[in-house]
Amino acid sequence: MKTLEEIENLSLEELEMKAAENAAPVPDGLERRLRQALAARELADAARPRPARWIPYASLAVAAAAAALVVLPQRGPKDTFDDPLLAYAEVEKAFQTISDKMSVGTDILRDAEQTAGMPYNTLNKIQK
Amino acid sequence: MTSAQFQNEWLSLSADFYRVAYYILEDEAEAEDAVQELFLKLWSGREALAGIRNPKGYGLRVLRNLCLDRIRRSRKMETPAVLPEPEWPGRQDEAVDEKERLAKVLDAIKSLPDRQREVLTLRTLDGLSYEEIAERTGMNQLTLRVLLSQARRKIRNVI
Amino acid sequence: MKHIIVFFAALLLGITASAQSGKNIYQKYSDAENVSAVYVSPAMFRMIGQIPDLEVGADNVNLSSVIRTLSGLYILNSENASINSALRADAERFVNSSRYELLMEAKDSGQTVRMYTVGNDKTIEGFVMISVDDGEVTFICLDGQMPRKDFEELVAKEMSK
Repeated sequence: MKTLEEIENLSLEELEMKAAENAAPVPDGLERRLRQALAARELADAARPRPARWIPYASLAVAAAAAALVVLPQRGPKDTFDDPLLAYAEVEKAFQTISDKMSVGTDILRDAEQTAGMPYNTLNKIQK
Repeated sequence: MTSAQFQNEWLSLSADFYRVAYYILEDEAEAEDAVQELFLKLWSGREALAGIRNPKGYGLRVLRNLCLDRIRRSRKMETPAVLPEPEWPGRQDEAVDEKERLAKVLDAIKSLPDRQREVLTLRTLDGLSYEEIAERTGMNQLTLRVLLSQARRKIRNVI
Repeated sequence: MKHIIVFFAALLLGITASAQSGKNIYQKYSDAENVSAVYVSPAMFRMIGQIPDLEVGADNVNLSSVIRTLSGLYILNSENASINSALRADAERFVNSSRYELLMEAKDSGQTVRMYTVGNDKTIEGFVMISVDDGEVTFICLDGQMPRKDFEELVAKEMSK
């Protein structure tokens, strides 16, 4: 076991030498785990409650937006896609999302049904 | 410094840092912990890292000091006769909370299914757009949104 | 001066708020930062309907039966914290002020999903989904003349996977 003094006295050259030596195998997936740790840091930081900031120009922005809504002629929105195949793919994805979200509901209902033994109208209505 | 720059410049040195940490601490788990601590520290201060001309040298010095701190802390625990100096209570609580929160989030990430973990890391750490992630993983964007939303929910439950 | 602008803004917002629709909501938020927006127009749906042998993407959703009955699709997905609650409020005001009926509501670990339909026994003329998760709000609004049976089958098919 190295003493604190020995470690304190390690020069940069010695450290760099040790870095280059293959004395111990580097564990598999080290970089991947480090990336996860950094992602965890970002998420943990994001979860910290932040003080609300008062933005003084918000009222002007609202005024501008409201004016734009009323003053400018109401044109319909523009199609996001020019190609009907791409548009179709997007519609398909939308239904996938709707199903995924609906699955959340039915999973809960199924669990509840199992525990309570009661039928649920919504589930029946959907699956009729 | 962007996330990509940080990873290019620093993450590529992780093997070197590990070897030195192992040399000093003589224990695999301790060495990996120390390297993780190093990277979290570098990441928090990444704005200031852009000016460093020798990243390896800088990292090794910080690592050495972190390892020294580790050893001192573990030795202090072995000799409880001396009471630790009381720190300012507020700050200590905050630091402990912070460490605990990070540990919980990290555990939660590790327990995610592979796809969710991959997508979460690409979005949170690399800051990639849904389009970029879709390209990289071959998943469609709405599937991505569902996966991410599930992953975030799991992490949130833990915090 | 600022106070006068704010007053008029409030007045104007009051007027425009009563005219909520999928289109208005879409137009209000589609250009905001961190909002992904998709709009498929009636004309585009007609073109889709003309594609021979509509092929299915990776997810095996058989939409062709329903798609020919659709006339509009608005999708807004927002991760913009500063507009999320406004978007949600507008969407809720929209469904509450029209003849939409709540089809289903689910709350799971901080995520709330509500789905609404409007129409009669045989036909769904409108469908709205409002999903609120931490930091993310999704609004999907579908217009059309969808046979209720087909719509329900389609969604149930997806769910049983």
